[in-house]
Amino acid sequence: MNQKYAFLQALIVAIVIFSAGLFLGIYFENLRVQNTQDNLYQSDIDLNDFQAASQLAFHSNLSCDKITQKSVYFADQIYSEMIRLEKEDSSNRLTERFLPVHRRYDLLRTILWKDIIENKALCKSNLNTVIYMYNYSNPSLDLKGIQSTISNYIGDLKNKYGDNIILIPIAADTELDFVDLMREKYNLTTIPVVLVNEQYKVDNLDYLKTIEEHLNK
Amino acid sequence: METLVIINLVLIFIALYLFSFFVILNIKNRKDMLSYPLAKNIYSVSILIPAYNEENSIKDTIEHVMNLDYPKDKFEVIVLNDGSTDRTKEIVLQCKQKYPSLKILNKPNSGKADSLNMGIKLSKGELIAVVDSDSFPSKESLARLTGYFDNPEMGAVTSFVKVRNEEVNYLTKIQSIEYIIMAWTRKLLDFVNGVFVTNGPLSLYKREYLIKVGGFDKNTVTEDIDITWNLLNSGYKTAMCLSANVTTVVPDKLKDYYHQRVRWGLGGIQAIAKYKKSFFRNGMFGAFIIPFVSFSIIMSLFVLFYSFYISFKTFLQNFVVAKYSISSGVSIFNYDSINFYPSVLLFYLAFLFISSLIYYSYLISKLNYTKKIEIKTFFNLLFYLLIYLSLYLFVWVPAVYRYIRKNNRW
Repeated sequence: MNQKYAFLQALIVAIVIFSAGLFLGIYFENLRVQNTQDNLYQSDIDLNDFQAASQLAFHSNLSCDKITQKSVYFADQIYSEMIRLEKEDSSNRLTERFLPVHRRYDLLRTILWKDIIENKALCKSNLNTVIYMYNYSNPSLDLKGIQSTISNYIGDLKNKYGDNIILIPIAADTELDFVDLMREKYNLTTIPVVLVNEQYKVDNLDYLKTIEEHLNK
Repeated sequence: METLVIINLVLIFIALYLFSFFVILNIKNRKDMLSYPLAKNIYSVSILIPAYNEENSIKDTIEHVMNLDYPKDKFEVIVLNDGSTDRTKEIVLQCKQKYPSLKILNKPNSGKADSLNMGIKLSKGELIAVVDSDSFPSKESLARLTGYFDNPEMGAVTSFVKVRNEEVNYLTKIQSIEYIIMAWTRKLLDFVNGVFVTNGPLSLYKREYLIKVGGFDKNTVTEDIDITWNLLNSGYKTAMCLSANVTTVVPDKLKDYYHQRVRWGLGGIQAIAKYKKSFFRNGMFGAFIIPFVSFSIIMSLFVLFYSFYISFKTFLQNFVVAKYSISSGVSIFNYDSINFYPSVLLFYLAFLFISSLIYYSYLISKLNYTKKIEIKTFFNLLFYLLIYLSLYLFVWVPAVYRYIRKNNRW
């Protein structure tokens, strides 16, 4: 009879280990979210700092170069944070807490884009902006393939041109009014789409390579 | 949570449960793993050796059987020559000159089960030992098995099969590890009356019960599984003795190995179909053995198809990316696309894998009577866990197919 308890004991042990794993998993995932939120908080401060510095520069004839340099640095920082966010998001299985963080990042990136547009106009800068609008929630297999191809291409472009390009990927379907308005303003009706220097639009893989031709060199 | 994640978690939980079950049984019975009951009576035993074209091994098998440490007046040996077309008959007759008590039954080829049934009719012993004609029982094995029959409910006892040709190639080496793990887990199942196969190389049966259940079934491809289930279904007990050793040869060619395993798989399915009415009836047999074996088969097929689905999806995804990348002249691979953030599900799998590795290393060292496992064996074990078990899943597809097509050939 003693042996028969093994079935029940195994069930209890399995439940304990499984639950411990589940709690640990949720804890790790929440830790990732927490880290991302910390980064986001830092980026928020950086954005405010950038906006304040820009305002001051425009109103007191201070050097545009410094502001341009800062915008590149800041955009790069957000870009690398975004890549990390995407990876962590795809690795998170047990929780779904990344969506609000993702939305906040998208908003932050869109605000940055708007500020950079203003800076470019005021400073008459040759800096290139490459905005990549993509589908975040459940893209089809085909769409995933297209988006990965575009991601790889613009990633290569960024590596090639470095500080001459500000690369800003934005999820277009996270229901943010500001993002929708920017899309409307630049007539970005199809997704995915790449917008180069607020003028040249590519929404077809056949023309992907033409992006490079439209960069200010 | 996504459906696929839920499926993964369910599979992980099942694996955790089974692993915990075996470890708990092991902990509870760690002192009894190698023990066996000493027989109060000296039973008369008839040893049946079914043989079909076994000219290479029959002589040695007879030598081993004739030299068993068991009172000579208490056992008889009957070779059942199943219409061999090679020199088997001639060799057995030569052996008979050395051992006059050796009996031989020459009969037209009718299969192993039928040969055994004829052997049972000829035999006189209280117990029937079945020894495959390519298997060599160790001297003390028979005596160690007989003690279990002091329990009047005992129907069959099986032994620990070791691989004799493990040094031939890698396939036989891996099978050697597999046989050790099989024997150990079978012994653990013994503690919950769950021994569901009495192997061909050496198993001992109570003659009276064999006759009561109608002997070996000729219509199944694995008569050893069937007879065990038949005995269990009739209320008799089965057991396993890790201290009774027998060596056998395992297939050293992939083709032979594949055929053997498909046959085993088919035999398992046939047994489930035959005894399906006993599901959740007849004590441990219906409550544990049939559900356990059925569940193992269903899970194997599920995991196989699920892995196919995941692999196919990943392949398709990469294919679509590659297709678009090539047509657009874009690099297929980007360093940024590598994900260094593992999913927590991977930690579960890592836990299961490492735990299994440690546990199997422990049991191999235990059965080899060594304190440490050799590095070579450790790597073989790694291969067994990572590759062999995955490939083994494929056996179930042809086994199910053969069952559906009612293909019963050996």
